[in-house]
Amino acid sequence: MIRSLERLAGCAAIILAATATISSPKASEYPADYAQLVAAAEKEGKVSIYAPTDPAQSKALMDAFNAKHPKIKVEWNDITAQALFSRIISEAAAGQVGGDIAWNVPDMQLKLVSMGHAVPYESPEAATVPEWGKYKGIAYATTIEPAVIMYNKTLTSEDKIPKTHDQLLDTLKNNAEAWRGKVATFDPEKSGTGFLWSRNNERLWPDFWTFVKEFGKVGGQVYSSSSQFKEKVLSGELLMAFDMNGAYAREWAKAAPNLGVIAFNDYTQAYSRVAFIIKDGKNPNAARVFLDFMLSQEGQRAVSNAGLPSVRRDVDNGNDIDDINALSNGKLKPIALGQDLIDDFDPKTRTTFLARWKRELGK
Amino acid sequence: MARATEAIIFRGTVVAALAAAVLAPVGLIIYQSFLSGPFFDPTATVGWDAFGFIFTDPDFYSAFGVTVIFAIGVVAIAVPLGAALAFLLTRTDLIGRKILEPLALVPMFLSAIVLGFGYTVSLGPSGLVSLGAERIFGFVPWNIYGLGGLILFGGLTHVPHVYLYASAAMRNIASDMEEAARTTGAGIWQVAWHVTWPLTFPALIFASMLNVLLAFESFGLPLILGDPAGTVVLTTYIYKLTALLGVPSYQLMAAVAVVLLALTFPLVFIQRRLLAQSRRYVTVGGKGARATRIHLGPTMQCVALAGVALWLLLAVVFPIGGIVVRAFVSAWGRGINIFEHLTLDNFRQLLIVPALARSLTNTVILAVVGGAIAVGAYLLVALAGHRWRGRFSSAIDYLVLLPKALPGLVVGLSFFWVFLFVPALQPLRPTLISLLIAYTIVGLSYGFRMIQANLLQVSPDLEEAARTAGATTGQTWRSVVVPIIRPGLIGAWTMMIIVFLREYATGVYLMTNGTEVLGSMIVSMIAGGSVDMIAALSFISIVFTLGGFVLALRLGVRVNE
Repeated sequence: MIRSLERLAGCAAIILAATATISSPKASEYPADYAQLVAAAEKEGKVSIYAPTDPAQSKALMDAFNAKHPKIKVEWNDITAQALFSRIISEAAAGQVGGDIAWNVPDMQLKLVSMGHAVPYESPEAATVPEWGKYKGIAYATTIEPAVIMYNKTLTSEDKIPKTHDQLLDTLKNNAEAWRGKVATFDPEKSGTGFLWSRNNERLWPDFWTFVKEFGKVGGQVYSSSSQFKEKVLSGELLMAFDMNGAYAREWAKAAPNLGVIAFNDYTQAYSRVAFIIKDGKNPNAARVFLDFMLSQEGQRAVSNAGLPSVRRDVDNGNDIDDINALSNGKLKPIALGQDLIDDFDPKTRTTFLARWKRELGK
Repeated sequence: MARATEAIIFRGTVVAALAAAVLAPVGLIIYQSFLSGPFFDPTATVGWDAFGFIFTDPDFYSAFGVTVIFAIGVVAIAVPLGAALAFLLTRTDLIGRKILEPLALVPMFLSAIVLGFGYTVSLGPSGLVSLGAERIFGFVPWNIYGLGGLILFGGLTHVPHVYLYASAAMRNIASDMEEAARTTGAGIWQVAWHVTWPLTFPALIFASMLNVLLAFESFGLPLILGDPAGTVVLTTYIYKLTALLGVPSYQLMAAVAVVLLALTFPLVFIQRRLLAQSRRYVTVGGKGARATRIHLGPTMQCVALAGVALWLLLAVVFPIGGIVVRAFVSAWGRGINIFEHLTLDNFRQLLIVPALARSLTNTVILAVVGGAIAVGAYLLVALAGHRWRGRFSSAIDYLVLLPKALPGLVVGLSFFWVFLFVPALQPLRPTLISLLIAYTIVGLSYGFRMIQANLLQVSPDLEEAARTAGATTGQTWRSVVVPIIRPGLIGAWTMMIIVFLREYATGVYLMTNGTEVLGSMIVSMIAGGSVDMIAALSFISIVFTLGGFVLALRLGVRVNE
């Protein structure tokens, strides 16, 4: 009941906010000769995917794709984000390209695009992807994964959990003892995701650096992998972790009754897993068919059913961009695919940011 | 004359092959450390930039210091305990030693990441044991995070690495030497100190070196036990360097790896000096004499058993117990009654993913078949170096330890490059053979040394006798030396099965669709947070290894003899 009220409120907020960030769904238009592309893809017979994905999600996507295209075998390579990057640039240099589709975090993907490792492809599904989720007709956002707060329900209650970024600052400042050593976030020094979230917070939140100082004062913890956060909040070693990947956190909370998840009310940043076709891949036609399927309603539904929220508005399974926006009080702020993400790889930008992070944290 | 030529050709071929296999990946890392970008990037220039960066970074020095302290701590704990354990289990009549023998190796079954998770679940701030202790004391009387915890658990879980080499050496000591000491009125500890210890010395020296290297390249434990307290060692510092620039900066990673490598040379040099007179330690003579065991009185039995039990509790029961519990629950920790959250879902999830099922099969094939092939290769290398006083004999000692001196993830990346950029090797990359070759090189320091230690104990008298009878070097090896050390070879095989089962870093870059391996799959999954599946996979890998062990015992293989 409460949940549906929340959703109703969220939907109202969307309408009121007249969101500039989320465009209305458009129909996909497949060209008349699309069957020829599929035939060529079937002739290739397989498609190789490089992606750091949880097995449940890759399996869902593979099964859905195979149901539609049984003649195209999907070879999934589940490797870490860093290993994916290394593999793509190394294989290209050796002339031994082994992947057809890369599917990874947005900043690294755009960096690879800027280095020339992707080929342009105007997908017939492109019209259904929001404008902020498309990059130069090459790379496409496929998911919307919000930064949320995850907390331990057994040891603390929802009313003690901050709902906005400013409340987060106040909470740590005013109840320092209660939170000492019990609050955590991703480490921007060790984790690319951590850098992405923190850097984006700096842009969106005027008091970000004041907050970092307070976070340091209460002995805020930093970790570099989602699994560490899950175990530490689950067990009560941490009371709360913020800027967790909400896609994972929501799935975990379904299975673990003592995990609570809430999104910020003032703004909820979100990143998208980005897909592109790898240059010189051995199965270029199958890659196109696969990318189209990833963006299609069918493909999006399969992946979002398995946990990763869809970037499309018409998936309607309780886990698409509209649902995430409702969860965020209509204040969803997707990280747009653009030059900013690539510029943030500039060593000077990063070291300056991280030096300040360490300074404010008092490390 | 013909005999000498035969030996030279054999030795030359083996050493050249070994050098190629080891130096290709290691050399590539060294080369990479002197470049300004990836080695395959045509715009990369040669220079000292990478070293300039790390040598002016205060974090590097602190990580370096912590690494050295960690390594010393691990050796200080693992070597005495491992030697004592080996002595008790091989040379005394300790009650229950038959059961304890395989148990003593169990911490080796687990990759460090899995061990770390196990400790978090049992002894972490909200661990099951910690919460029990809290009920008694009102607070948790320990903190596993930080350098102290890292050294303690690093040391305790490396005991098997010492036990294995020490027990292999001790088993081969003909008991007439100890008997002789006993009949002249020496007590147990006098025998241990004056007879057993000096004879075990080479094995312990090697075990110490190995532990220093293992501590240097250790990644999983520092990540899980060090990170929460901000304790950074060189391998986790590499991790940080990677994220610092957002994309992997190979030259910085390589520069840190080269620093670690540079530390290895003095270690191996010291080791060689200490073992210079290895002839002193010949213990298997022509006269066969099997061991009789030293009798322990009731008090000694109790003390010894209590010590072993405490160690087993800390190094086996707590981490494995943690994993087992975690594999069967959906929630745990403070305020949670785990019995309300028992589930089999974690395993059900595994069944539906083909890559995971494949990774189980691949891992078993690599461990069992690959382990045997690796032992064959190590035997050839050990024979090539056996009784060789040639100019290049020392090269083998260095070559063998080089791959172990480098962080596993860096070596894994380098092997990936070797198989990618060497045209002749390209067809092997998507097959298990590439992983087998990489695993064989990475495992060199484990398996080769076991075989070498066995060879060292074969008296030259036996070989000379065969030669006098007209046998060639090859015939002597085939008919005399190899049959004598056969138990050692089987022990080495068991060892390689374990090492290959739990290996995780080497495959992270090399594995591809169809060649997934368990350990590397776990590494890939950690970032995503499928902890439920990771726990279930870890549980399965423990069951596999234990199953393999029980089978080996049933088939009459005497473990590590």
